[in-house]
Amino acid sequence: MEKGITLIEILIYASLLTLTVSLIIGILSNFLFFRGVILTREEITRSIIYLLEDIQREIKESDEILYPLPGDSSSEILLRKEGKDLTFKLEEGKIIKKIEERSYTLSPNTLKIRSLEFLHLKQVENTPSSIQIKIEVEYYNPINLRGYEFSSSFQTAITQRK
Amino acid sequence: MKINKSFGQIVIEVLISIALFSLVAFSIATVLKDVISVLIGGVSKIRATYLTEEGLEGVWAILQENFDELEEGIWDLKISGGKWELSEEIEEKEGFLRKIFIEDVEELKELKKVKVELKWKNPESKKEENVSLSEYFTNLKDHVLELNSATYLRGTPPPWTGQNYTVIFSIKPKFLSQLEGAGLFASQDTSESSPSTPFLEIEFDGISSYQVKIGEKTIFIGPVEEKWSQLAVTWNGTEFKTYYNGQLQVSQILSPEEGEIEFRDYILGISSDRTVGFAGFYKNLMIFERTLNDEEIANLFSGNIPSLEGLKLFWKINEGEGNTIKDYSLSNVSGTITGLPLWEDFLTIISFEEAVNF
Repeated sequence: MEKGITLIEILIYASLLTLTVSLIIGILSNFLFFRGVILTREEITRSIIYLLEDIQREIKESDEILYPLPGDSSSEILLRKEGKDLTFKLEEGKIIKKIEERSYTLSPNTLKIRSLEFLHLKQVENTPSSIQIKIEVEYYNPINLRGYEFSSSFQTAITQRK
Repeated sequence: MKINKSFGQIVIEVLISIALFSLVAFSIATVLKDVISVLIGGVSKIRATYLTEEGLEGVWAILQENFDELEEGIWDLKISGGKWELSEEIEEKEGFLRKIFIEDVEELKELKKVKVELKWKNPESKKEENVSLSEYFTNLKDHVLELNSATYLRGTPPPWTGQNYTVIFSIKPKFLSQLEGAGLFASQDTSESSPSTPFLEIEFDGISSYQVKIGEKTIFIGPVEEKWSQLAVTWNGTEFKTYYNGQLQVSQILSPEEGEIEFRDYILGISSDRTVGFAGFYKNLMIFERTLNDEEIANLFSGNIPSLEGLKLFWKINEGEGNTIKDYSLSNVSGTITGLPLWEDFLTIISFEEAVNF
């Protein structure tokens, strides 16, 4: 019996190796893709709930909505609550909350807020104000990673309770 | 070319390995696909939930302007001329279909059930999904008093002897875990008079019932629940009856010495010896100098006021501010809150079942 390997054996081994490596790369690539998809959805869901709940609570408990005026819409809202001025506004893709002179960034770095709109609905005098809120958000993906491109829009409303 | 036995074995092994590997990879991919489907569906669900909330908030805003605009039917919410408006045209927007169902509630006037339903197709699984929220709206602008262990309510009438009487009030404990035998109502302040004098007291028994103490007797009614309950007692000279939510629970024959009491204090929120307070809400304390019958008690529970004959006290306890409670009977025995009163918007603590039962 002669020792060594034949050309056919080499070819079969090489093709099997290529197939296996391709499968592994494919799986890894899909894993990274799915990881991106999961991460972006989770992050957007969590952040939106946090952002909208905070905005809704402050509007709901506010004493007065100073801006925008009834019938108008804006990317900024100015409230008066317990004698203090409170603002939510869109600045360079971030939502900023300002209480008197102190500012906080509400949205995380991983999110880019494409648009924010507060529509102050018209109500008859001495009835609580109602605000429709629209927000468009995208996951921050500067190097265009596959699976990380995700954007969505959300719309809700809140009416003062005071 | 030589194909030997060992080579054939290797090829089979490799093929089996690839098959197994592919099977595992396929399983993982399937699971991941399902996870993705759920997650993408999760974002849609959040969008749908916020749109549902918008429906309720818009209806709430319309209610603030004109309760009668909430007509029975199926609607969607639109903005017209910068105002919220209910529209009969229901259109799908960005894959979401919203319907607002408004129903009148027959059991209680000025109460409407509003249900907002959102339907959409999950972009991944292609399955139809839905989310809905319901609320009961009323135009009752009312308040209720919340008492805690540091506050109580007391009124002092000119003393009168109850040869026939009815005491009725509504109560909602705030936390069942914090009742701890707290006093609810006493006809007289035993911290200032002899405890042997016949008196009426209704308090939590420390387990699950209210106990009515009439002189030396104790009668249990209930159960104590974390929602509005109406408690009533009547005495007609021979029979002492206790009622819970409009229904007769216990009837007992007592001697006049046992059942007849002298009303000198009306106290809510603390035991008669002033040792234990109670955390909860009170409303509509009525005291009659006559015995209301079973039907009248049941009617009162349904919200129908009986004949006001013999009415000695009627505290609605809905002032919404201040420390003084107005008496709506002709006796004019106002109540005074000791401690810091906390007034709650009735709407914030009402639920449908409670509203109907209240």
